[in-house]
Amino acid sequence: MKISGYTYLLAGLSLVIVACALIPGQEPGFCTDSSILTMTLPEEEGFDTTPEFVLEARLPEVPDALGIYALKSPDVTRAYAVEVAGSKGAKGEVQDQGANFVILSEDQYVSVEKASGAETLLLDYKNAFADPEKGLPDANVLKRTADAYASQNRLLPEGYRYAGMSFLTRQQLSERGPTGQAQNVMGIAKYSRTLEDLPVEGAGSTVTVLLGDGGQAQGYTKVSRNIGERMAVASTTPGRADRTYELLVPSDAFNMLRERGLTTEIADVDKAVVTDVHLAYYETSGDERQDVTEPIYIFRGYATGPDGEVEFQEYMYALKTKAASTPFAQPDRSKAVDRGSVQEPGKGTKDAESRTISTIKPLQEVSLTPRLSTTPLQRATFNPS
Amino acid sequence: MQIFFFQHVYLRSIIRIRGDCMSGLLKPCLVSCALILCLMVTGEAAEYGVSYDSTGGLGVNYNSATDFASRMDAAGWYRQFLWGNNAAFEKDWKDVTKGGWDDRYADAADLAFFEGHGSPSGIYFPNDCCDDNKCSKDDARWGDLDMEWAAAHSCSVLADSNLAAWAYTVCGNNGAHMMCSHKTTCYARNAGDRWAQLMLSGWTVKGAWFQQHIEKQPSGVTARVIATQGTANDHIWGEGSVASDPSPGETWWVWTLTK
Repeated sequence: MKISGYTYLLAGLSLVIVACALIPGQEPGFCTDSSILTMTLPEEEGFDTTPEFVLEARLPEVPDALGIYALKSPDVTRAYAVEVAGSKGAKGEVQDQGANFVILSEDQYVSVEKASGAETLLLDYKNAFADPEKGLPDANVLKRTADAYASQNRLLPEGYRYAGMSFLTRQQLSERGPTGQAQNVMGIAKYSRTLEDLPVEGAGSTVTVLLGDGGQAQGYTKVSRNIGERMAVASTTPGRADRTYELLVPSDAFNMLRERGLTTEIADVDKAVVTDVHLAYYETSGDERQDVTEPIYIFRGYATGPDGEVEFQEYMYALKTKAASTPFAQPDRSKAVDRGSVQEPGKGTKDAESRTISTIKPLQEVSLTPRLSTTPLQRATFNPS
Repeated sequence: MQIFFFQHVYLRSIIRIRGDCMSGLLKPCLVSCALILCLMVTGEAAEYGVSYDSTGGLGVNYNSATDFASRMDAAGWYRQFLWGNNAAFEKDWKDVTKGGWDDRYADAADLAFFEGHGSPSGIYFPNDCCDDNKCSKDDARWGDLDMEWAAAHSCSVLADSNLAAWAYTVCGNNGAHMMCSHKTTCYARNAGDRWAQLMLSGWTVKGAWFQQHIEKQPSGVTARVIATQGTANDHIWGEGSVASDPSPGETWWVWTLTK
């Protein structure tokens, strides 16, 4: 039987392919597809400065691999909002107010954010954050009250721990500034959680219980998305999982901070001393959708210059592919309003008579139409019944 | 303002009439009375104004400012101004005696909201075309015309260093009731939407400011409110009690909340 030359060629190619498959493969590189990395960090509203940085903190140990996790939010419907309110004993008509559902009664306010399921409940909300008449007990008593309230209302998902008490304070002002001792007028008990032994920072992953007059619990705010499956990993070593993203080592993150600079509340900053560097996860506020959480670096310290000394806190992406890219670009709104085409308004007048309005009770039945349709207000009605 | 008044007085009257099932003759009579009352108080003002900076990565400030405006509009407030970025001028917040034109803008509104960069010495505007880009404590004199409540969702405007100046020089001695801002650096969030929503639901101005702070800022960020004891529990017009204008020399206080 005669074998053609093409057959030999095909057989040779097959052998090469088989050999390639049998030879141990080279270690795969880091994943470069960033399509799942949708988490964004917030911008600050101070001055951007690039001072001389001094590191006075011990750089953290970096774990072998850190997960990148899905975050799950409930499907927030009107029925869901009613259920949340009902579970806390709150009743009333549900109002769809665009970003959230609100359940309002004469002395109780409940809101549930559509983007995340974040909840707020306040008793006597019309006087919330007012100065107490009876004063406040000490922090230990407040903590016990908050713990009992959180437990009774099942506010704390698994993994949440008490994270400290902060206070709303009141202090007199003289012509030179704050004077006398600041008085505590409200306690805010905070609960937070960790993920892979790292704190979850940001406005999310927090449950706060408000403690008002006499130390009584006045309500709570809960921003907590459920942590879902591990979608990928972050590591300094490639190939830890199917999807492995490169994790910046702390020294590289610090160098990036030096290049990027920081945002502070004073314009003239000569020196920034970093006193704490740590890895964390990030969860944003309840009004935004967030589907993924990933590790970040947090730098804390103080900055000094001719304008004084201020503390700072800087968030930085810990995944190299994101830290190296330009900050999340917001749409340019610089021409959002054309002033030239608008007629100058008339001079204002003092409106002493407006006070008559304040004595009028809330409207019972009025539908209002927004003039600007940026936020869809589905129903802007008020019905306390 | 007429729209606002129409909704709050005239419509209320109609609703009450409808609810009371009054006679056919009495009803139009009372409606007419409500209209006459409405006309008598024409010119009454419940205005708001907003300036914002959404440049340089602060795009969320656009949402904060315009969502705030949407909610106030929907509640019947009159929009005195809504200026952003290149159209937002420092002079809009600067006192007319200092060369500004706040008599048509910030001080011509009952409620004035600034969303953008700040420091203890002032609030910053991206456009320096008309004077400069900073409305400082020396430029501002609020309340001598109309303003009751000012808020700057900005970094550290109410830090310790110039706190007394904002309280007494800018607000207290001129008639403004309250100022809300931060002691520390804060993060750009859609604060305006939530603040307006809460105030329009009956929360006090101060309570709404602290509540949106708890919901939106990470731990460590400090919000502040300055007011007198009398004005500290003000609601906005139409949503509850409002104190009289503070007298010059009246003592001011600062409320501080670190999340």
